[in-house]
Amino acid sequence: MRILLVDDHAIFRAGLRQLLVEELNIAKIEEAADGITALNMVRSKMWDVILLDINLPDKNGIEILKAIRQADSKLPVLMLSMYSEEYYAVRAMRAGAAGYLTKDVAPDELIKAIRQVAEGRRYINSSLAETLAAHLQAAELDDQPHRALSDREYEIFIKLSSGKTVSEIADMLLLSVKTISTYRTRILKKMNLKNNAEIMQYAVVNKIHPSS
Amino acid sequence: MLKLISSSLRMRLMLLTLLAVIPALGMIFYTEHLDSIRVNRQIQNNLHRLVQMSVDKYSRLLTDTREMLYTLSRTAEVSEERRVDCSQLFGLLKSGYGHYANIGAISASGDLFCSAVPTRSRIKTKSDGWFNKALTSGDFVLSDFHVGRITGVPVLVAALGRKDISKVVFASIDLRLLSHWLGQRYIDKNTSVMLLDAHGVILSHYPDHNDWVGLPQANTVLWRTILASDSEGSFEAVGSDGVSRLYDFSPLMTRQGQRIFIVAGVQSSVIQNEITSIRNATLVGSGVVALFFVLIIWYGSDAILLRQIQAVIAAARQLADGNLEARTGLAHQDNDIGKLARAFDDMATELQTKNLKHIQLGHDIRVSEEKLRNMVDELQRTREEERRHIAQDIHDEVGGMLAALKMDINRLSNNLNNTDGTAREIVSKISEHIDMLIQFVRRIITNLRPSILDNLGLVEAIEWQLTEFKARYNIEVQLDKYLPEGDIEFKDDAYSASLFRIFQEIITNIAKHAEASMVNVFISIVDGKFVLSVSDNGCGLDETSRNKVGAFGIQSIEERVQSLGGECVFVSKQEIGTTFSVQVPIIQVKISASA
Repeated sequence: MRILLVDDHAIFRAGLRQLLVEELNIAKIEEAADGITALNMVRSKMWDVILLDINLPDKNGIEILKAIRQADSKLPVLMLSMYSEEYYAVRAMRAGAAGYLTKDVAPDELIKAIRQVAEGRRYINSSLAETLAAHLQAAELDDQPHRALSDREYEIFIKLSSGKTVSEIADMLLLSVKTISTYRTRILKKMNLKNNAEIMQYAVVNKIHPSS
Repeated sequence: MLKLISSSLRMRLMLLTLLAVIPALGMIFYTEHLDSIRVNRQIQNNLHRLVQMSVDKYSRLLTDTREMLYTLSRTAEVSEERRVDCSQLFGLLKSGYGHYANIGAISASGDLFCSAVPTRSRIKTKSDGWFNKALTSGDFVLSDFHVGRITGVPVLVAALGRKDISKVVFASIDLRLLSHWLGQRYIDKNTSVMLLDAHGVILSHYPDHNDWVGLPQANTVLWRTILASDSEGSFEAVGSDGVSRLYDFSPLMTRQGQRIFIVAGVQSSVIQNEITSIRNATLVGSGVVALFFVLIIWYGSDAILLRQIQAVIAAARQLADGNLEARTGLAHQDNDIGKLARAFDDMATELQTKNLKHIQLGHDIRVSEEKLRNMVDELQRTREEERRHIAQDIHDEVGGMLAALKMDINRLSNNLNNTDGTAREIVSKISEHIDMLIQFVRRIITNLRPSILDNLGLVEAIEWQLTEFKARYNIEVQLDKYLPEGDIEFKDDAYSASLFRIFQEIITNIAKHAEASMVNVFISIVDGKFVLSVSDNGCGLDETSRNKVGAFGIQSIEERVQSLGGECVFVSKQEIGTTFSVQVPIIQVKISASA
């Protein structure tokens, strides 16, 4: 198995190499201290798994990840970072990472993840699964367009549907007229409507009332 | 009017000068008064002289007549009553004296036996007053107004009686001729001269003799006044023709109560006209003088006073309007105006100097404010950079080392003999401690500088911070971000960190003060500006508490936004909440190459 370790911290790389050698008996482990070097190595050689840190001296790991995916869309990249997964994990997964682990991960899990990723599958542990699920829920779309609105958007939608003008709404919500205009544009776009009259019509047809 | 006069310096000056001129005008009018008196007197004198000259003339005429009659009475032709010879002689005489209508002689019986003018019938004069008087007195008498029975013209008969021969010789003076005679030398058409007999009948009149002759004046004021005076005199009265005149009169003869009066008169209106014309001339003269004064003062005051005063006023107005360069432009002469101008100009210079100092001071203050702001900015930037460095160092060195340590401990744990329970326990404990240490280090790093800000940018950092905020304070959060694809590029890379810190401060304020249950965040690019609005549904701030409680936080946020070239709006309503909007200009939204 050919593994590329991308991390700017030499001691950590050494420790990781030791661990991998001991646990996996891998013959070929190479290291890169920064993103550009890593990219060059990805382009010039064949790899089974890339272990990629987010915090790199030149570019951040997510961008390197995207670049690697562009170079070789099938190459599994396992993110290994000091940062907790709750925020970076979702971005990393979205950018095409095969998995996301923090550096304090137990060796067993790390090995398990490397193996799983090398087979072309994704590695998602329980905490990552939870984070992803929360994000998915937020992005989930309903069949009714107005359900796709954020709370604030919905509030403004309701006010528009009851005939309030943009500046009236701006006064009520302590926001500027331009901000409300931006909201209105976005609402019309999200709901595929053209103007306030259509908003009102939509509200009537779908029985949406200011109280609801 | 009074207001107008007192309002204008020019008017006041004029009033003053007019007051000063009043005595001169009084003098002019007094002189005019004297002039009119003099004119009056002169006219009177002329009139008097005229009367006296006439008196002289008529006296001489009467004296001549008397002498002639006396001579004639001594002739044989009369004493012997030679009718034919006498009439011839008298006829000769009459032709030599133009002013006698007739010359004749009468016998005691009243028989006109001798007449220069031939008579057709016998004329009886027995009943005539003058005849009887002359006959009985044997003296020279004059008749009253009388129309000659022979000549048929108005005459005055002068008669001389001779008792010794009982004859009366007479000469009828032709009153028409007399009138011409009167008027010959007196051309003035406004002056009239007349002869009145003892009963006030006009014997002769110049001019218009025929209109006047024979008219009785006995009932007029004129006649009464003349009678009241025993000799000559002068008075003003209305004549029988209704015209007021100034009269002068003198009796011609005062023998035996017989008096003939010479009266001369000048129409009062003529005198009045004379006086009026003098007065008019004076008035016109005074008017011209006054006008001259007014003109002199009007234009002279400009030259000597007003122009300077106006210059001072204009300069004062310019000063008031803020033009401190304004000066009077007047010479600082050693007079009142010069002193005023000097004082004014000095004042203006002083003001200007003071103002320059103020401007300089204001400038200095702005410069030091600017310096201070730059220093604060620099401090912020340095602090931020420092934090980033420290966070980076801790991450790289401490974090990396801890991760390596963790790795080693795990390896050690794997290599430990299963039987060695104590060692295994210790290794497990160390591993736990290292985990705690890693968590701890992570927290320090994040607090120092969230890595997301550097790795993923401002918007992602805000999003992350909101998640943290929700977890920490249990306040609902909602983010509406309307952004195009790409990275927002500010004027300076440090702007992102500054905006992030500003955002952190805003939501920290909400957590501390707002008592909110919901935070709405709006992020967008509007009109080339990055717009960040943070609204809460908390208690809101009224003006007073805004100035007290969160004032320092708000002010520091405002200043930081301003140092980014942006602006911020703070709106708060009680029971509705608070919105903090920040707008910072951006350069562009750059589409990331790797995206």
